[in-house]
Amino acid sequence: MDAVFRALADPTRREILDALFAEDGQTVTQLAERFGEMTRFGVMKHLGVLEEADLVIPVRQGRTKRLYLNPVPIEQVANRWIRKYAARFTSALVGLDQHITTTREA
Amino acid sequence: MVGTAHVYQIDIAATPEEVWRAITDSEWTKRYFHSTSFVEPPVAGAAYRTVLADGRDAVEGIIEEITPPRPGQSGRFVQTWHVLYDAALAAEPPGRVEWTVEGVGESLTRVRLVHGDLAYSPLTWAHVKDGWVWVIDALKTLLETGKSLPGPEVVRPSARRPRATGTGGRASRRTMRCTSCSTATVRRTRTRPGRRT
Repeated sequence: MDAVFRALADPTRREILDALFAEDGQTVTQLAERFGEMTRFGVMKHLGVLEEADLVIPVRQGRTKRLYLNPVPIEQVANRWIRKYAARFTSALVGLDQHITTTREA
Repeated sequence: MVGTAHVYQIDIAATPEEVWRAITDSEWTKRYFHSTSFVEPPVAGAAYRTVLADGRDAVEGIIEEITPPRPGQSGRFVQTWHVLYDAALAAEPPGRVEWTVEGVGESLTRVRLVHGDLAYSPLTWAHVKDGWVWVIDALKTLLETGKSLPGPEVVRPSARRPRATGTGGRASRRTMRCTSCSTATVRRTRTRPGRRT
């Protein structure tokens, strides 16, 4: 999970994930074109970190390598680190809402 | 743009043989795959069909490859995937589901799932996208803890407590259908631009 957070901590890598979310299965060349200001090597380095975290999965099809977004690690992060806290926040808000309503009615 | 494949990967703390059994044996699929099971044990080159717990058809297709994992060699289970549990999805051409099971350490197995050939099945493409995440999560949970994940929460509007404001919670949830049965379920919304469901 450390690898996932590390991978997500960089804006370019999040942009790569967004690009794959919008269009999954792109080649490195297609992706590199979107990041015109960055060298292909730079993009490959970011892809390495994303692959290390299993967020991007390279799939070979003949001679081309296509890159796919793997949503499973993000789901695991969401389950472990986001829903738990979000649920408490939501129930606190609902509690506050009910408190105000009953106070008003009384 | 709608893609032609979804790819998922996860590492599971189990042996490749255990993972393989969970994918190919109905006694296991029932416990994590929306209660579905194979009508007949899958045979390479033959047709297969899976059914829901109540006997309704879930998915059918052809088993294209069954290569169990062996030391030093990944297992592969490849099947064409024609959805039967929903009329609109059943009208689309079949896709192909490929499981790859690879031992990567002492009792550690990497599972990769590719659901491809979806270029002409945009509804199925959109429909299974999140559904597989749940199935894979449930597979991992079952093999690592021996427990089935509770199913995605089922919508029962009448059973829901009325809320004081009537908005708040509603906006943070969305209704979706489960990948292997037509049960409508509720999941928390994540904003997903371009979703087609």
